Formats: sequence, C-alpha cells, structure tokens
Amino acid sequence: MSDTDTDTQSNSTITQVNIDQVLQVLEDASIECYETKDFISFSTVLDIHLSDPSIYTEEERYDILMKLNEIFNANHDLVYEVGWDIPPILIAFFNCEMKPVFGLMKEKTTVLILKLFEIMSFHGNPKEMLLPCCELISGLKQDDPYTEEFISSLESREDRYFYREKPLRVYMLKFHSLLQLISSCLRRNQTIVPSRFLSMVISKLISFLNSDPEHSRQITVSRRLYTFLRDYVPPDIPDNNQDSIDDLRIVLKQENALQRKLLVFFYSVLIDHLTKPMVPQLINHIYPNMLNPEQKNQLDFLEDFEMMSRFCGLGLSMDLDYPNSYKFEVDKSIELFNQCKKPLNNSDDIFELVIQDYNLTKNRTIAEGLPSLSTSSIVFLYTYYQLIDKPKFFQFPKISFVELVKFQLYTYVPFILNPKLCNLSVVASLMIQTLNSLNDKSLIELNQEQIHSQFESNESGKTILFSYLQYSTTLVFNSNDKLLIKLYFTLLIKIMINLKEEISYQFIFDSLLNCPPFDGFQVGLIGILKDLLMNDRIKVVTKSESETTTNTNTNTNINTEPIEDKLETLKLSGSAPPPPPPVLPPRVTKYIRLTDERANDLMLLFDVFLEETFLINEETEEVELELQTDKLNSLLALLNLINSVRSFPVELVTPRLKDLETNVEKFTNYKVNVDDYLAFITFNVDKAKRFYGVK
Amino acid sequence: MSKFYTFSPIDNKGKPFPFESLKGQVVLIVNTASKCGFTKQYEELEELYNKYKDQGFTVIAFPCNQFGHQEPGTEEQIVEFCSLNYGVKFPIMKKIDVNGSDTHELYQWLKNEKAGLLGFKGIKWNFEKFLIGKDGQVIERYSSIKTPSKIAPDIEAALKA
Repeated sequence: MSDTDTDTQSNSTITQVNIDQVLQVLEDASIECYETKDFISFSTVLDIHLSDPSIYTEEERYDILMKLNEIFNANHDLVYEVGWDIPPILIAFFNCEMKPVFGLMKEKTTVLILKLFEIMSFHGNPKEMLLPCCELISGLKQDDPYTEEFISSLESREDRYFYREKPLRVYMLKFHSLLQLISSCLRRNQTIVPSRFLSMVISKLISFLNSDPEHSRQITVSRRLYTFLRDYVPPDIPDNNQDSIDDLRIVLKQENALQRKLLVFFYSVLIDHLTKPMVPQLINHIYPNMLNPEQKNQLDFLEDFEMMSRFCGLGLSMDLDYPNSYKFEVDKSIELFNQCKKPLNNSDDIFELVIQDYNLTKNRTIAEGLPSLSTSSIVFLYTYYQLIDKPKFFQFPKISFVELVKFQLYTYVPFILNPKLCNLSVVASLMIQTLNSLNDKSLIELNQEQIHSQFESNESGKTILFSYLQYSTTLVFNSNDKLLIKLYFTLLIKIMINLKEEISYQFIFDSLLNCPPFDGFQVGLIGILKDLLMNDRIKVVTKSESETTTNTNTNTNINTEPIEDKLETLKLSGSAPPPPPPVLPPRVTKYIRLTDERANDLMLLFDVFLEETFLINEETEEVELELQTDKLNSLLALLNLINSVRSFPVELVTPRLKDLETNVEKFTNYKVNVDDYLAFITFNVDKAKRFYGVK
Repeated sequence: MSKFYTFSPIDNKGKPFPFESLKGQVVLIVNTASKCGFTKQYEELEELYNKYKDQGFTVIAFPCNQFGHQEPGTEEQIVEFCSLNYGVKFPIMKKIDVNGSDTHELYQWLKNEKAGLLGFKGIKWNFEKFLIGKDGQVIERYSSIKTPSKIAPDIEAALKA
C-alpha cells in the first residue's frame, strides 16, 4: 500500500467512509508489513484509520474490531511489534456511542475490545506497552455525564438508566482494561530490576487517583487496586542473564526490598485516598463499637467495610503492624514536643515546630523493622483494626489524652498548611481515639495527673492544649460535616469537664470573643458553657487525698496543737487506737462557677453580640437597619444561657434586656420584614424578665 | 531439637495437640477456610494425606477467618463441613489468627523461618502451605495457588530424606 493510498483514505469524510475499503487496507497492511519488515507502517495505517473511531457506525466498528482480532490472533509477532500503539486506539473505541443494551456480554464491540486487550497482554512487548498504558491510566477521568435534557428526551426507563450509567461504566472498562494490561506487562517483562518498572506504574497509579478523585474511589476501582497489590508477582529473571549467582542474589535481595517498599507505599497512599470520605461510616458504625465494645456491630454487610476489611487484612499480610506503628508515630510526636527547648508562647510557635519537623523528616522516619506507612493511613487502619477487626485478647497500647493531643497537633498542622493532605476520616478517628482515652477507666488517674502537670501548670503546656483545640475547631468547621461537628462537640465537652474550670472557661470565653465566624460554633460553645455552669462536678475525695489530708492535719497538730490536746491524744493512744478520721463528704460544685467576674464577661459578650446582630448601615444615604440572622443565633443562645442559669446579677441583666427591647422596637417601627425573628427575641426577653423580675 | 516440636496448638475439641508427637514425620501445615475459592483444595489435601500417611506424612489444618471472613463458623461447623463435603480425616485445629497482633505462635515461627514472595512474611490468603521435614525444619512455603497435588514430589522427597 502506497502513501498516496493512505492519504486518500484519510481524507475521506465522515459520511463517505467505505468500511470495506478500510477493512481491506488493514488486511493488506498486515500482510505487507511482514514482507517489508516495516511494522511501523502498519501502526501508521492504524493511526490513520482508527484514531477517531466515532466516524464509523456501531456495525462498522464491530467489523473493524473483528478484523483486528483476526489479524492479531493470526500474527502474534505483529502484536509484539505494534502492541505499544494499540491501547490508545482501543481506549478511544470505548467512548463511541452504541445502542443501549444491558449486560456486558451483549455489548458486542466492548467484548471485542476486551479480547484485543487480552491478546495484547499475552503477546505484546511488555516493556514497550507499559509506558503508553501508564500514560493513559494516569490521566483517566470519567467523561461528562449526558445532559438531563438528553436523558429526559429518552422514552424508555431502561434507556435513561443506560445513559445515566454509561460514563461511569466506560470509565471502569477503560480502567479495568488498562490495569489488567499493566499487571500482565509487569509480570511478563523479564528483568533483574523490576522495581524500576513497578515504581513507574505506582507513580502513574497515584496520578490516576488524583486525576478523578471521586470516581477513583468507586468500589469497583478499589477492588481492582486491591487485587493488583495482593496478586503482584515479580517478573522472572531474563533467560540470557549473565550475572553470577552471588551477584544475582544480592541484586534480588535489594530488588525485593525495593518492591516491598513500593507496594507498601502505594498501599499507604491508597488507604489515605480511599478513606477520605469515610467520616459517616466512622461515626455511625465504628464509634458505637467504642462505646459498646461487647456489642460489636457486624459491619460486613456494608460494602465499604467489606473492602476496608480486605485492605486491613492485606496490610497484615504485608507485615504491617498497626498497633506498633501507631504507637511509634505517637511516641515520635511526643518526643518532638518534649525535646523542644524554646518556650511555646502561641499557636504560631507550635505551627513552626511541627512544620520544621515535617520538612526535615518529610513526615517520615522509618523505624527499625516497621514498614513505612503515612501517619494518616496508620491512624485510620489502627482505629479500624482496634474497633472492627479487634483481636480478642490483644492489649492495645494505652495512649493518654496528653499524648494524643500532641499527636493530633503533629498530624493536624500539615493538614492546615496544605488542605490537600487533610483527611477528615483521620480527624474523626483521632477524635474517637481521644474520647476512648478519656473514657478509659484505667487511664483516669494518669490523664488527670498529666493534664495538670503538663498542660494546666505551665504556659507552654497551655499553649499546646489551646492550639490543639483551635486547630481541631478549624479543621472540623471548615469541613462543614455535620456528623464531624457533632462528634467534635461531644469530645469538646468531655475535654472541658476534665480541665480545671479556669482553663475551660478561658478557652470557651476566648473562643466566643475571638474565634473566626464558623457557622454554629458559637452556638454550640454557648451550649457547652451553659451545661458546665449548670451541672455539678462531684469530686469524690480519693483515698490518697484523704490520707494526705489526714497526714497534713496530724503534722499540723504536732506543731500547733495546745498541749492539753496532745496529752489527750497520748492518753487515747495508750488505751486504744484513735478512731479513723471521718470520711469527707463528696465536694459538690459546678464545673464552671458563675463568679462576678465571669458574669461581667458574659454580659460584655452579650453587648458585642447585640451590636453585631442589629446593624445600622450608614453607607447608603438613607439609614438602613439590618438584622444579622447568623449573629442572632449566638445572641439567642446567650439569652437562653442567661435564662437557664438564672443566677446572673439582676443589675447586669436588666439594662441588656432593655437594650434588646429597644433594638427590637426600632426594627418594628422601621417595618423591616423580620417579624418571626423579632417575635422570637421578644419571647425570650419576656422569659428573662420574668426569671429576673425585671419590670 | 527443632522448635516446631515445642508447639502444642489446641485442636477442634479444645484439647492440646502436642507437636512432639509428630517427630520424624513430614507435615504439611495449611491455613484453611470453608467459603474460599480455594476450599476445594481440601479434596487434594485429603488425597495427599491418604496417599502418604502410612509413610509418615500428615496434614494439619488451621482454620482462619482473617481472609475475607471466609471461615465464620464454629469449630463444630468447620469439622462437619470438611467431613461432609471432602471426607477430611486429617487433624483440624481450633480457629486461629495467622497474621496481626494475635498471631498464633506457631505461625510466628513458620513465617520467620520461611518468608513469602518478595520477602513479605505475612500469610497472603487462605490455603498457604508450609512443608515441614522429618527434622522439624521448614522445607518450603507454597502460595495458595499452588495446588496440593503439585506439592506431592516435594513430599515424596522429604519422606525419602
């Protein structure tokens, strides 16, 4: 076939394609290239005629694919020579329109494409096919869906379903075909340095994950990638290898180690990628398992968990040790804070400390004997392993609250710096772990001691604690995930009741005054403050405290008691042992007491909220009144707190209620259409007036 | 003496099965599951057992639920399943973990003695096999896809050793 013939063919218009001619050209070219040994010319013919398969009808495409199957089945040498050029051509065929049919085996052209991929995987040149396949898979994305207009124009329900599903189905078919071909290329490519090819494949698969994150998390994709990892077998050594046995042994040992690292690395990336949207599963299913460990939920019925369970098992088969890896990461973060000699005055200091370490170590130091996993994947896998796949008798490491706070800062700071790194499932997992630690009866004393000695009694410790709370707040509220926010408030109240009241109050008040305007944060925080102001902290005097008290009293008595009392004591000791000291009654106090100073603080906060809620916009020529409804919620929450606690000084409450009434009147007079809000404010003001006796 | 003979796993009736009693025998240790694609290997395992048991060979099965939760049943259910479907006569032990924090000490030892593909020690799936020689040393480790009948030559060689 001459070049002129080829040009003539390629210039044919879409409507004038002569399929018989095309089939004949393909047939002739396949014979001609054997005679001339110019296999590239066959590739050129393929490119010219098949680079845009959409110019053919479905029947014509079927004929072309049949022809290619015939040619390649009969000429395996040709497949070896031109195989590298075929995958992009075949991938383009997947995109073509077809009559709606249901069931893969009924899609005649699709079946032929898959058969051609199979021929490539058996007979193509694995080394040469690897690169184009990797390039194709790395940028794979789901095509745009059909417009709703088109879908609704279809008459049958089946057709509408077919076209709705088609983009995803095509994406999956392309991915499946390419990954299968890549896997077979890796296996068939005889080499003594398989890690070089595996590293290329893994880097492209990571690009694939990032190219279309939503669809690359589809269960079908994760199943294929799981199988890819599980079934990876290194290629054979080339038949003509000349290395000595000893040299070969050294190379193979190094190569095995490199391949192990690459597979574990990809596993780690994959876990991080797949788990990112799993916050609902964690909070709805895994968290209840923590609360009721005896009534462990059976979660296999959930597709996500079935897959995650497989991945968890796969990690174990790759010698990953989740509890030890987790403990190692926690210890590393503790060491970072413990070795810091500079005082930590504010959250910027914490940020700098963590980021410097992150940059120095690339967030990784490989522990002796522990394969490297990313911090995110360790946290998720450990939580999953502990709460779902929990071995019956295994004692998981006990991590205290203080240690977890440091570990969370170490994990969260990079999330804040680069939102692409942020994995909210990891945030949820760590919140669950923190609740677990605070609920663990065996850790109560240690937690209390560490909170006091490391956080409450020094400024750097307080900075660590407050930074942790601030960063957690930022991550959680930036996520807009309602479940995560709910879990966060559950954790926050648990933390607050474990802190000294001054510290809890300081955090809450500072946050109310200065925090960024996260939707719902102030309202939630006021709710927590209300609970802490109203509920009793029952402090049972412990045995050790009681003994300390008794000893202290005894010592004091020895030094200061009147002599008569000492004689009395001697008399008693001579006859019978002194009676035990009376058991001290439990001390009852509120978690946060409403002192005068705090009442003043909260009234000032009320003034701020009031000012922010009722705005007078003077920018326009006419003065306009504006009701900031998002601020109003905070104001109402504070009013509700005042109504619930009922022990604010009347002289502080009265002027505020009057101010509020005045503002409401202004709006009423101005006839701004916010009647519902105003009625609600009025209702609460009336309630407060009744409680506080304001006339 | 090989450490192999110091193990005494619990059998499916809850009684210790001292490996000391296996001294001088060739043993094939297999982690099994009843709902796996490889479950039909029980048939070939039983054939091997029948063929070589009189020459000092035995198969010991360790049911394990760690791979795809494919061994969910109780000890009684597992034994009944193996007996009814494959006529299994070789010893079946109590269900154990072969990977992770609660790995049975026998498997810790086996995996350390013979690593798998690429040097990973962990068991990859159901029906991986370890062939133990008459001296209690691990001769070979086989992946799940290696069917028991293909191991027969190695068993014969071990029996002759």
